[in-house]
Amino acid sequence: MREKVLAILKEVNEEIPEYEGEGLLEDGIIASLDVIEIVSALEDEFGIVIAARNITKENFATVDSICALVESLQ
Amino acid sequence: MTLVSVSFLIFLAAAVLVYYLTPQKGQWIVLLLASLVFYWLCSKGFLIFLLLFAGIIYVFARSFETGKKKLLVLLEVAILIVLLIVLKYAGWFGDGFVRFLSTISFQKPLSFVAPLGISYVLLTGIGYSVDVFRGTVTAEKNFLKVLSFLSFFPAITQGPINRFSDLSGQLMEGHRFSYEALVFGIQRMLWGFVKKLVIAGRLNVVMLELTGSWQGSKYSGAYVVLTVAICSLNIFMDFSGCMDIVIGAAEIFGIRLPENFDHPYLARSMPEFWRKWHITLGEWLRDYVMFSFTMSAPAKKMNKSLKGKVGRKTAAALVSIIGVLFVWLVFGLWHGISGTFLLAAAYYALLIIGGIVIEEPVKRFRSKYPQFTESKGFQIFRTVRTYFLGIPGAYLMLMPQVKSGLQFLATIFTRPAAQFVVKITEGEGAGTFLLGLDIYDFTVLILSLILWLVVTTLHRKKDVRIRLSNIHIVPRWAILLAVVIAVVLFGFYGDLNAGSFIYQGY
Repeated sequence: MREKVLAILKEVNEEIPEYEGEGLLEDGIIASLDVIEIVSALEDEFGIVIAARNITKENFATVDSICALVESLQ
Repeated sequence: MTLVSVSFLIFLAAAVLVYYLTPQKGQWIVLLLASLVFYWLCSKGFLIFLLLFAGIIYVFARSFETGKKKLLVLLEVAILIVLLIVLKYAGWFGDGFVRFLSTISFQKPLSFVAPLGISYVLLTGIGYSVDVFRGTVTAEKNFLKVLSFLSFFPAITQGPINRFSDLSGQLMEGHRFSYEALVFGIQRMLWGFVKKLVIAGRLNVVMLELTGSWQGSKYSGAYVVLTVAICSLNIFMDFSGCMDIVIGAAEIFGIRLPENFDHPYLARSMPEFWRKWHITLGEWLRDYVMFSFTMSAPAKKMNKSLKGKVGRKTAAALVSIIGVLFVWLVFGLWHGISGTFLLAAAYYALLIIGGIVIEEPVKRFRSKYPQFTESKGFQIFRTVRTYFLGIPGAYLMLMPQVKSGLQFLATIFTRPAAQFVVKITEGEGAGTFLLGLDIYDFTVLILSLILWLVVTTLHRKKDVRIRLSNIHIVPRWAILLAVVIAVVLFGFYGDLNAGSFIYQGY
């Protein structure tokens, strides 16, 4: 699953997989515009529904936390 | 009582003393009582409106435990906004209504202005309600605890806009006295006083001098550019100085509040600027307005149908642009129902939308010329460009009327510049003036701006307070004493009301 999530993130923004910090959303690496693209792609790929309540800086902190979010919604 | 008054310092010292003499379990009650007393001292009978807002927010949050949550949250937001409009614009509803509000809040009719900090209570309260609605926090059962969160006195006048999940736990858990927290808190407040009293006080005089009556001002031409820059710097010093006082005061109680500024003038793009300027408002708008829209079923449906027609990137950009328009409409209206705020909001919205539109070509350009776009020179260009794009927004917000403000801007093309130095040889106000300040005040302003630049540069690399704590006690206290004396001697109390802050009015 991680590879699929990583591929989606890379397609939206190439900087995301290279980012080493812990604040993808907070540091603006994932912009509000990117969120729409990422959510749409994750929903299509994994058949999940991501709601506004899931878009938190904790859930969108790292690639791992995004994977954990997808897993929790499956 | 205001945040920059001797009475506030006495009040704060008394509150800190009682707080630390109270067992940790009961400290939140001390803070609640302090907040209510503070509100009473600032706004007297307006306290009832604070209690009314808190009551509505509490009751609705509790009601989300039952069904029909979406309808209830919309109803709550509508009630709070209508109440805010009624209180902020009481004059619209006639003299009789103003007298009625004045009577129930024990205020003289002429002094009726919107209750202190009510706009901040509104945002904090809506944030809490939406969090409960979304299930990210549990509704608090104790009304007094909700009131304590909403009314926390250092933050009630101008924010920062707190989140229940960040602040409530800190308020409830209580804290042991910490010498470091006391000293660091006082140092942070002191720096706020320097920014507000020594710098912003004088910048305000320069700004008023430059803008004159905003119509037929003697300054024009190239001075317009200076005016725009001064307006922005004035808001920054005034507002971030206040935040230093607020965050420092909270720190003394062992409570960490979110930062509202993070070197905004170093931002390299407009979205980055808004992640560094009035941070808690930007995050509030993003989480509760932007994501509420973009994650809604209609927006997702729109995105899906557009994706097939115009492609993934363009579809997301179009949905995002609608979200941006919502965000900036709320931004403008929250500051006030006036053309100037809406114009400022439209200006920022245009910049952000422009950024979205050119994002893909810029990305392509960057990947084609990585050496150039990653060079130091290009990064400096981005920062300078963002600065000049960002600062007119502050000017648009401060001008009293759209027409006169824009007419003044137009003089850059139509009239020659006025004199930088004005000499008045006769009468009571005789002397040499530079941008409205006499030579003494002008020198203090320039020197204090240099001091601010040095301290800010040092602070970026390492907290100045930690640097101070590492040096010998004698020079450390000498520096602190010098700053205190500087605030007392050079604090600008002049003709202006030093106690009022620009952002207090929103």
